[in-house]
Amino acid sequence: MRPRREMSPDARPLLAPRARLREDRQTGRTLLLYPEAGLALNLTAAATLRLCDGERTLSQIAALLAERFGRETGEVAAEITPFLDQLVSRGLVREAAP
Amino acid sequence: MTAPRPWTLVAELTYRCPLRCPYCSNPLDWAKRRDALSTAEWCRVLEEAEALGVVGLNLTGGEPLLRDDLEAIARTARRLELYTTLITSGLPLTRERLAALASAGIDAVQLSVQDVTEAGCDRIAGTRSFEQKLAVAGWVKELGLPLTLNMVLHRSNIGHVAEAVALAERLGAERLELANTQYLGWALPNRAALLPSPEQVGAARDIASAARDRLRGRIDVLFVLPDYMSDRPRPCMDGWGERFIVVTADGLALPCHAAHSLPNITWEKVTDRPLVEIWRDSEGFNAYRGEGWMREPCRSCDRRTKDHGGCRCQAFALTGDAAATDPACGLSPDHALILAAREAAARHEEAFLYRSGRVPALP
Repeated sequence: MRPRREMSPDARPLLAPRARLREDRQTGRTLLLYPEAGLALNLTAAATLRLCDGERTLSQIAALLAERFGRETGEVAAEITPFLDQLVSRGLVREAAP
Repeated sequence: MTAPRPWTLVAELTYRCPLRCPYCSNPLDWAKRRDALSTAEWCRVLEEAEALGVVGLNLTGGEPLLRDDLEAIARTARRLELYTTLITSGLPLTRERLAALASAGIDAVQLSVQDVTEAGCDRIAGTRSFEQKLAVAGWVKELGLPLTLNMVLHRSNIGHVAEAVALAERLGAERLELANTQYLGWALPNRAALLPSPEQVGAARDIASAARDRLRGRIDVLFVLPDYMSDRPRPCMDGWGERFIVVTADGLALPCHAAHSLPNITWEKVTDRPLVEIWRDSEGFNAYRGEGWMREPCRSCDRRTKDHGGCRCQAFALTGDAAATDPACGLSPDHALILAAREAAARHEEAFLYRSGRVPALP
C-alpha cells in the first residue's frame, strides 16, 4: 500500500461529486451517501464536511469548528485531518486546485 | 423480534433484457413472470421503503431501461432524497434519455461490461453490445455522473482483469467491481462451464489488489472472491432481512434476489400488504433473520456474526436444506459438494448455455 499523504493546512477540501450529504429523517444525524454505500457521521465529521466547499482551507475549517465547539484549533485540526485523509483515500473528498 | 433497519432497496423493475448472459441472476423461469407493478405502485414501494429507513435505491432488472416509466420512478426517488443508482447493460439508451434520467433523479450509473474486447463482450452477452457500452460510459462522464464499471468474472474473462483495470482508467470510472460469478440463477446450470480454476482466481486477485493500491483515491477497485474458492461463505446480503429489501418484477418483497427459489415460504406481494409489515412481520423475512435458526457448526461458530452462516439460497440449491450451513464453508459437512463442483469444472470443456425463455436443467 502507498503511504498515506497528510492533507496540508492550506489545502481546500471539497466533497467529490459522487458523494452527497443529507439528513437522516430517522435519527437526525447526517449521512454521507455515495455509490452503493454510506456513512452515518458524528457531529464533528458532519460539521467538517459541510464546511468543505473548495474555498476554505483546512486551517480555516479547523478554526471555524474550534470556535463553534469551544475547542482548541490545533486539537480540532489533529482530529479532522486524518478523517479527511481517509475520505480522500476513498475518493469521497478531493482537494480543489490551488 | 424487533426488525432491523433496511438501508437499500433493490428494485428489479423487469426481468426482460436484451442481453443473454449465461450467469444471469434472474429466476430460471423469468419468462413466465410478468412485470406486475405499475408506475404508481413502484412509486408507492419507494415511499414505503423510505419510511422504513431506506436511503439507497438500486434500479436494476433485467434491464431497467426497458421500462419507459423509469423517469417517473427516478423523480419519486429524488423527491425522497434516495441515492439512486441505475444498474444497466447500457442498452437500449441514447444520450438524450440518459440526460433526462439524470435530471429526473439518477445519481450514479453502474454499467456492466461482459469482457474487455468487442468480441469477448459480445460473445458472453450473446448480442452486439460493446461499442454501445463504450458510448454510454462516455455520456455518463460527460453528464457528470459517477461511473461504476462492473465485470462479472468467470473462466472466460478472469484472465482479463488487468485489461479491465485499464478500461476503467480509460473510461474514467470511479469504481470497478470485479465480481466473481455467484452460482445461483442461470450460473448454476452453467457452473461447470464458468467456474475458474483456483490458479486463475489467485492471479486475478493479485492483479486487482495491486491495482487497488495504485489507484487508491481515484478508482475503488473491488474484487469479490468466489465463495467456491475461499473456504469461507460470503456474508450474503449482510445478513437475511438485515439491510436490503429486494422487490422483484413480479411484485414480491424478498430479502435477496434469489429467495423466491426457497420452498415452503410463501412470499408476499407489495400489492397485497404494506412493505413495512412485510419487512417487520412476514414469515419470509423472519425465517433466517438473526441466529435463532442456526444449527451446528454455525450455532457455536465465532464467525457467525460476520458471515451469518453464508447464503441460504446456496445452502438450499446444493443440499436441499435452506437452514444448512452454506457448503461453501470449509466447516460445512457438505463442503465436498463444492470440491466436487471444482473438479467437475476442471474436466468440463463444453460451452455455456445462454439465458433464454426455456428453463434449463440443474446439475
